Amino acid sequence: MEIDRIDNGVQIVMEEVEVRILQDLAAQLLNLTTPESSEIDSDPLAKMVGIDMHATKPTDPVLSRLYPDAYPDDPEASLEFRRFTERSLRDASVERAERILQIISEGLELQLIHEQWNDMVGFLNDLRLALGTRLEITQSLENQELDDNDPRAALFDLYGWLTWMQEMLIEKGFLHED
Amino acid sequence: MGTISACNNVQVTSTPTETLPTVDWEFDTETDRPWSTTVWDDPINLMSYVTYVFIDYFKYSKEKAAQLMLLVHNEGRAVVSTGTREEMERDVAAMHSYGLWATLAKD
Repeated sequence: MEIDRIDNGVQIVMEEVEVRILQDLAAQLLNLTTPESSEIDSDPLAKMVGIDMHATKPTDPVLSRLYPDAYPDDPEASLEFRRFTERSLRDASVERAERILQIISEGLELQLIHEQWNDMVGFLNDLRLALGTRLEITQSLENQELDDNDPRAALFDLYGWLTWMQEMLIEKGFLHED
Repeated sequence: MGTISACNNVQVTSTPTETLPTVDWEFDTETDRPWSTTVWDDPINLMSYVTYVFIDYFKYSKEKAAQLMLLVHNEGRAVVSTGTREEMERDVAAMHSYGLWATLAKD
């Protein structure tokens, strides 16, 4: 993969295998974040404003990380906050992953301008949060040494690749902006 | 912000100045902005990404955004905004939408 700066954004040149990896990760992310259908779907107003009075605190650590408690010492207020926000966060994440799937299906050479750049950076962040939480990353990756036989080694490589990609997108597409 | 909203309750009329109500600015500042949004350090979000979020959402300068990011990184957390409870709930939800670990509390 090559990432270069262009006017108002970045150009990414990918290999087919890299597109397939991103497609696979997007599918897994969608699987994880797509809201389970609930009574909200039969209430058009609740659906429109993204309120889900049946939302509960997730048990999956990845979902707890993506949708954390807003009030550290107040479970009740946190739950109420969750009912008014989590559904919208999930919907936004799902819609973004779907836009990325569309973008990366269009060819191996992509030009990401403005919103598309935002989408890609946010999408990669979702993936890194999900994968990083699963891998129980507790310190910066540089300090982690995994045995080659460790079954998590391949996932760590994948995490490192996503980190590199996000870092490059920010460096080329944002920090140079002035 | 607190001082501006305090003015909403003061009616400006031709009343002689000696009868104008006194405004307790200190009190209004405290009741208007007692809540804050805290962003916590986490091992996954990149320093450059956190800086980008502070610039993109709060419209902070690069310098201020980088300072806050370093505070989060070095101290484990930083207060990134203050305001009413409603405003802070909005900021926390926005931080969550970027994937940052944020909470709100009354100061």
